Amino acid sequence: MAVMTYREALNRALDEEMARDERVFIMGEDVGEYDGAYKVTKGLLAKYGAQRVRDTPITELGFTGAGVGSAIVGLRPVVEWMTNNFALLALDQVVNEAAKMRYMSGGKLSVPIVFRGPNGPAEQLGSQHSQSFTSYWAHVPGLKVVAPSTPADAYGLLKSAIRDDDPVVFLEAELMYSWKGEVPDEEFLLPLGKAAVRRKGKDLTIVSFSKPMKAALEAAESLTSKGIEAEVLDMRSLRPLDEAALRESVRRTGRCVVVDEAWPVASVGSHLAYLASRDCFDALDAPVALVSGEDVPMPYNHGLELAAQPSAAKIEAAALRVLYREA
Amino acid sequence: MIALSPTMNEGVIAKWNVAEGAAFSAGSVLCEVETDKASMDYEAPKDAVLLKILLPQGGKASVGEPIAIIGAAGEDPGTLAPSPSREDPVAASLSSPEPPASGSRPNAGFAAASPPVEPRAGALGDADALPGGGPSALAAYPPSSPLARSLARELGIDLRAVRGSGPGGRVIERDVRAAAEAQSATGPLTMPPSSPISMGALAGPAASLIQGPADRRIPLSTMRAAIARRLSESFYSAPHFYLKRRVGAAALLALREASGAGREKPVSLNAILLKLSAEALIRHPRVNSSWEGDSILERSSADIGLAVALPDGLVVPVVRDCGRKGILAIDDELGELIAKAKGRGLEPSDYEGASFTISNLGGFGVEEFSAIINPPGSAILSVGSIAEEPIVGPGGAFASRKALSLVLGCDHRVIDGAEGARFVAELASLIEEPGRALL
Repeated sequence: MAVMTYREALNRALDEEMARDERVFIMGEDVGEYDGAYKVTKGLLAKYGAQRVRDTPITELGFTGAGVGSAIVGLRPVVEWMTNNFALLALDQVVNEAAKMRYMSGGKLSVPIVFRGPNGPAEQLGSQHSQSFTSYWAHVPGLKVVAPSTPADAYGLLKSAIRDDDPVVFLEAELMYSWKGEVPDEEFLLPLGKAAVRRKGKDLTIVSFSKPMKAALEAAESLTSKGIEAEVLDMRSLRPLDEAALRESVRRTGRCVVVDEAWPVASVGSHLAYLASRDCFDALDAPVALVSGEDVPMPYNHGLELAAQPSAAKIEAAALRVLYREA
Repeated sequence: MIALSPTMNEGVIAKWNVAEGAAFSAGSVLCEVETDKASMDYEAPKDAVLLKILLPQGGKASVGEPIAIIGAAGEDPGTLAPSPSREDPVAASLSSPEPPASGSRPNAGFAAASPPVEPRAGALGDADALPGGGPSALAAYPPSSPLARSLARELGIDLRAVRGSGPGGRVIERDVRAAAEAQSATGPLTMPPSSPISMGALAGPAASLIQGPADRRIPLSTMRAAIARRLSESFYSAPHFYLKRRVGAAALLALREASGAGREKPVSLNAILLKLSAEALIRHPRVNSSWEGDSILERSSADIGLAVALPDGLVVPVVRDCGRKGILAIDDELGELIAKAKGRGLEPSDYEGASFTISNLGGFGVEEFSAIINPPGSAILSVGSIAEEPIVGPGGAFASRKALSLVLGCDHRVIDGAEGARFVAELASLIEEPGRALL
């Protein structure tokens, strides 16, 4: 078992899938000559050539649409968005074309494409480049949405996403690329739509996905000093969503804190909180809590920027609240 | 005055189109009303005669206030007081006379006039007539988490007796678990930690020899806590007064004998008392009422509770609508409820919302007693033992009869002395001559 970074795990998955299936190709800004803005595609141009690792102009709508078209006619593109902030330009191709094609063609067409790139705030990138758009994608039937939080998950889920016959939005995070973790040496796939229990506990369930998982686990660790055993559930895949795992855990613990770095209104986090309330009503001893990004454009000031995001301290406070415990 | 538009709160009579004494048909325009927005026609809801105009042209009335009395031709409106009821503005606006004493209702009577002879079935806002009680019963429940509620159901804890430690007094899981522990701790009784008798130096048999039995502190069961809370609340908030009467029991015993014929077990006296009380309540609906703070709710059905003793408390299962049931049906139902009560299997719908309660300690040889009212009812009947007693017969000669004592406890906020007395007299006459129930 090798320890590798999230970035290396993604690179390994891309490399293996390109070697396995020649229909797989990569397209995006700076993915080739520059090895990718965050070096996820490092070395792939040299290995597979410019035909399969294509640098594009700064035209998200254009190259996303080209990817969707090539997927319809039989290729398996992996389109890299330098960030999800830029992907807003391509919303129409994703929502109106990729997500609809199978349904509107009566099943005659499929769109086996992966859109991948960092999502959510990093550090001091300003309001326009510090946004989590998870709910934009998770909102749309016809798309699959994956948001892994560990290198092993990033590897196993990206391989499954590339082999999936439907469009998958694959959400990463700039700050996660250097996170390290063990990844088994042998090849493996992880199914889309299965959550993972990162930590067993009986007193409350902390549910999250992607980058905030780190703060969630830190909070759970800190809570042990107060004699509280938090279960930490990593949803990993947001569409399809492992509702059964959420249900099972919250019914057992009777308390739930949802953590999502996106804004709180109409977010994936608010949806998870709704599901917990709806499906675990009789088991809940306290209202479901949501720790979200603050409902503001992201401040540039680093202190304010951190204050506007979920933190271990905020999650711990929410946990104590649903346990009716003093801080 | 009815609401002629959704926003109308009051109206002014612009013009009466029908004269006093004139007949009109349904749909004809009785009068024209100026509302906040426009002049509108007030249409007659049915065929009748305009007996008396209460609000003349130019007069203003709020929605729900009476504006005229209608009825059958020849009825005297002078004897008919308009209904003060405002709970049903549409129907009560035109005040209709009560049915004449003969009992045949005039065809002009509107449904919502308030006939005092029969309690209205399904009166508007009569939520308390439902089993389990309405808002007043709900108010007794503290806020609670869903988990606390499901746990309380599972552990047999009455949430009303649990003190909530969550925000706003919300009962949460730990409160229910604590209550369950307190309830199950009935076995070995614990010494209070602050007991003045030190057990430290003494142990074993010697200790008990020297000290004798110690004081015992008994944790409250949820039932005990509920009894304490509910009866204190009733006793301290309802001004109680009591009316006592001796009643001959011969007919009661004869009826018991007769109704038990062909049944495995004799009919219980309580079943007969429930039935006869229901008949008296139907004739005196004020005794079948609840104090609601800003109003009095006359209940449409006689839901009579019977106090049942249990080893560590009591419960009051309720037989619903005794007025519509026969003695045998009441007896059967009572038997089931008492069995359920003794097995601790009563559901809230089995014991909540009694409109009247009977407590019978006659079986213990108690001659008479004065029970505390069981809310939301406003009266409770205490029944004593049946015993021979001397009476002065015709001509001054002594004779003996079987008799029992009735004591009616009343909430003076709802029931005045005379009304209570009329009810007791009615009940006494029904007990002494049960056939009157059929009259």
